[in-house]
Amino acid sequence: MSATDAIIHAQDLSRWYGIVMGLNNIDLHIPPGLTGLVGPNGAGKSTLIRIITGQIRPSSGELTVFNERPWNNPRLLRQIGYCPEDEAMPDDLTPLLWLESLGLISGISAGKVGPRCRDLLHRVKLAEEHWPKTIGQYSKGMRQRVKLAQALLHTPRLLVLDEPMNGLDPMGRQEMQQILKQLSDEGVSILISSHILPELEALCSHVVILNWGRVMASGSQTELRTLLPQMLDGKTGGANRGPSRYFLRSDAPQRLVQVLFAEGLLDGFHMEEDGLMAVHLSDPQSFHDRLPALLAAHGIALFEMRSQDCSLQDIFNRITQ
Amino acid sequence: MNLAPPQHEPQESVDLFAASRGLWRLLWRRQLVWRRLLGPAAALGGFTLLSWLVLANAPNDNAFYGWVVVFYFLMVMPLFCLNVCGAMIREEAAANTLCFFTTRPLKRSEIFLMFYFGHMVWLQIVFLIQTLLLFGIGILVGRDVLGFLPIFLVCQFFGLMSWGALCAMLGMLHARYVVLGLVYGLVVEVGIANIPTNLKYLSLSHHLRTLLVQHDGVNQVFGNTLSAEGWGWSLVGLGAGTILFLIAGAALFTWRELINAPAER
Repeated sequence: MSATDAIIHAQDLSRWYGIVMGLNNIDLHIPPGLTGLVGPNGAGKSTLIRIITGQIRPSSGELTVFNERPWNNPRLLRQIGYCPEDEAMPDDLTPLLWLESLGLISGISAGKVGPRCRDLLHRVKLAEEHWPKTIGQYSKGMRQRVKLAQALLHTPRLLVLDEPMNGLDPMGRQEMQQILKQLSDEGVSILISSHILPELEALCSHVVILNWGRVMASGSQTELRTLLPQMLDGKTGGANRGPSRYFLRSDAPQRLVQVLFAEGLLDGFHMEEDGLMAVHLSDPQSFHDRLPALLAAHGIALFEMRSQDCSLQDIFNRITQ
Repeated sequence: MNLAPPQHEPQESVDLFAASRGLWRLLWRRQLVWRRLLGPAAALGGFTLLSWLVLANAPNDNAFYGWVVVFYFLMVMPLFCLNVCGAMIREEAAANTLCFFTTRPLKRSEIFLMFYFGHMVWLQIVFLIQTLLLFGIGILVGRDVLGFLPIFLVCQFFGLMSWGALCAMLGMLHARYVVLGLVYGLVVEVGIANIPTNLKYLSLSHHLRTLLVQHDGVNQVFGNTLSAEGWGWSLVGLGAGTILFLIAGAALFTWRELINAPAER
């Protein structure tokens, strides 16, 4: 992704809360589409999101969204929808009244705001039978849906969601994923912060990993997987050479194990079913270099080879450990 | 279920009057919740009871005017404004709901002004009820006070606007706006306002008293020195104060972030 394609640019961006560091001199380019923002608590995710949505300003450096600074910028804020992580909502109001009021504040005309809010509540799949209840009577998952609806009120080009899957049951998460995918298909760019990494993995084409206020990695999932060994080399001085656990499926699994042990490439293995075995490599780089020759020399056919530790969770764990 | 892409096209600029209607709907519904009504109801009830106790044994109408000017206009009104307008945005920040407003396509100064005018409508309604109760007691205890009502209502309107603007600005200035307000009140509105120098024109209480003494009954209680100044300049003073405090408050809200982030805490 080139920097010119990006919708969000950050350069030398830092943010401090007194002596507490929120973001530490980060450079970042986020492309259009679905982007996941990943990091442990205190990594700087919420700080970054607050700067993007114009709630706080950078202490130094610059962040632009659609080439404009977000702070106190109504023209830009009209293009951004924000769904906060916090549970705080006006508990005494019905969702329709709350959404209609926020819709009027967002500039939707009085004639259009009612149908628009009803449309959105349908869209976030909040059953109509719950509409007359006050938000205080809602479950966590229902509140998440209402929060998402308020973020969509002014038809944003960029939707920023802070932990939107929190409190949703598995079915609710699936529905939320569907809604987000559909919005993405309609051309809405989505930045989504979540700690539920398998769901981000399924949803997001691009991932930004934050830790200690710094960007540890950023790119498409494919790029991250490809670059992981180099990134870890830089971090460990070359000691870590990428994934060391693989699933292998061959026509002669026992012979393959014998060969790998004999060559000193294997630390251990576990036989699964149907010729599949999980292996733990002692020297991943040497394994990659020599495997084709070894297979040819011993006449072993390899049907499948996949890493055990290249899920987003694994990448995240290995980068942040 | 409608899953079609939204048809709504956002307007180029937000109609501030319509946006204020939206905010007013939120404020109105929130203020009318029972547990939130208890505070104003207790304040109204307490003041009414106190007024009855004071005025029932008063020998003449002067007691009513003294009570209204000193206690109602210069104590109850500013303290009530401090409670309502000082908290108007900090309350949202503390509840983590301010982001629902600051991420809307509005300038922060516009949000501040919308909050101010929304709360001001609420304050004017509460104080109109209080006026009815106060004059009701006055009539009940046999005082001839109805002639005072027109000037009272004018002063109440401008008093609330200016006290509210001052308190909204103090709320933006510091989290301990109540302490700040009390210190400001003692130094400027009580102290400087009563010192016979030109500095007294900086106090809102001086201008309010000048307006109130345009009524003969009040004039008898507080003397002729104030009435000689004329009501025109006092109205200008209150109006200018209101505008200046609002500009300062809006500037502070544009400058300050006021988020309740855990990291910031």
